[in-house]
Amino acid sequence: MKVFFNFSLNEYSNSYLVGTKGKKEAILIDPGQITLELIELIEANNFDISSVLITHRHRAHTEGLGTLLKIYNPTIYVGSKELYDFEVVEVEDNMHLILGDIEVECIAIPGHSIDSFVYKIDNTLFTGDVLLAGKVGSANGVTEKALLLKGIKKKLLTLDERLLIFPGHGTISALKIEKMFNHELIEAMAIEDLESLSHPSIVT
Amino acid sequence: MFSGRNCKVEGCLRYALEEDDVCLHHHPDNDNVLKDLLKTLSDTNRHVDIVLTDVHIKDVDFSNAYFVTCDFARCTFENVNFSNARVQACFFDYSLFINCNLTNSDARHSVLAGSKLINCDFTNSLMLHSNMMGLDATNCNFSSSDLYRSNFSCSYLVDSLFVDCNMTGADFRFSVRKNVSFKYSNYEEALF
Repeated sequence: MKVFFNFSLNEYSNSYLVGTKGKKEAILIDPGQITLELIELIEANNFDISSVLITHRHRAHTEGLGTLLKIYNPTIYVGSKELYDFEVVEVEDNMHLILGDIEVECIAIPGHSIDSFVYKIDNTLFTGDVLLAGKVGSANGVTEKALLLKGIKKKLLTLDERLLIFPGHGTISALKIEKMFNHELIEAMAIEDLESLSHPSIVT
Repeated sequence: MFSGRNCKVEGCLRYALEEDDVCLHHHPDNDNVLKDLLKTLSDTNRHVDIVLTDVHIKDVDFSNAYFVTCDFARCTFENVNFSNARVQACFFDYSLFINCNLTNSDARHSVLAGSKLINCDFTNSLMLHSNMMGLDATNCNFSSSDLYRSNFSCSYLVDSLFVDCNMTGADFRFSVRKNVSFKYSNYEEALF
């Protein structure tokens, strides 16, 4: 599997081009902006964008879709089809997609947004704004933040810690690195540990 | 990106070599494989998706080398010359660098998180979008480097220089800095 990284100045977001050697079908993840460099990358590798995976419906991750659809004819996979005014395919938690010869596992982790998904391909996690290098995604309120942290803990931190992380913003990372140095995660886990020690029952 | 195929030896948690079923340590001819790999990597050709982890590399000249999306995690690099090398989107996490020369190197999108650096020179290097989280650096020189949006959070930096660097969007939150100079750098555009 080949993964190409494209940095966009549109809210400093990352797009990823995923393909396999000798195959034409390729996947584009989070087309925040379709730049000339990205088009050149696609064409230089003789790829055709057959699928687009959207981690969540925020401008920085979807704004390039309009331009992309004028050039290619991909199937667009999203977390919630109600949020789009063009034809998309809705994915579900634990769904496995076979796109060309690439298998994609869809993992729903709401909190940053209601439609947030993480996509696992081979030994890589495309985490969008769920988990980034050194931080977790922002949330609109404490309930959403708790939902996000619980999702990360249950569905990501239980995976093989050698998995690589390709986030929607910032630098690439690995699950083990985030477990050791992501201060937001460390803080959240520490609080959870404290919770299990404190809060004595009111009744007793 | 390098593939995450496990070494076929039961219980081994390392990734297999790119064109083999086992990791270097379980290869029956590992000394020669390592020698061949180092010789190949030392040329100026573009090397993609190489997996070479958990080895001690000493007195090797990688100047002008070109590595893309390779895995060099948990290696020890001693007196290794990476000057003018291009190491793009490569993983060097949890490695040890002693007396290494990375001047004028292009290490964009690379990961050195959890590594320990002693007496290393990164002068005039391109380290944009690099992951340096949890880095432990002593007596290192990052001067005149481009650290655009690189992440040094939770790092421990001692007796090191960041003179005249581009620090736009660089993240130094939760880092510990002792005798570190940011003279002439735009540190007000970094996160502390």
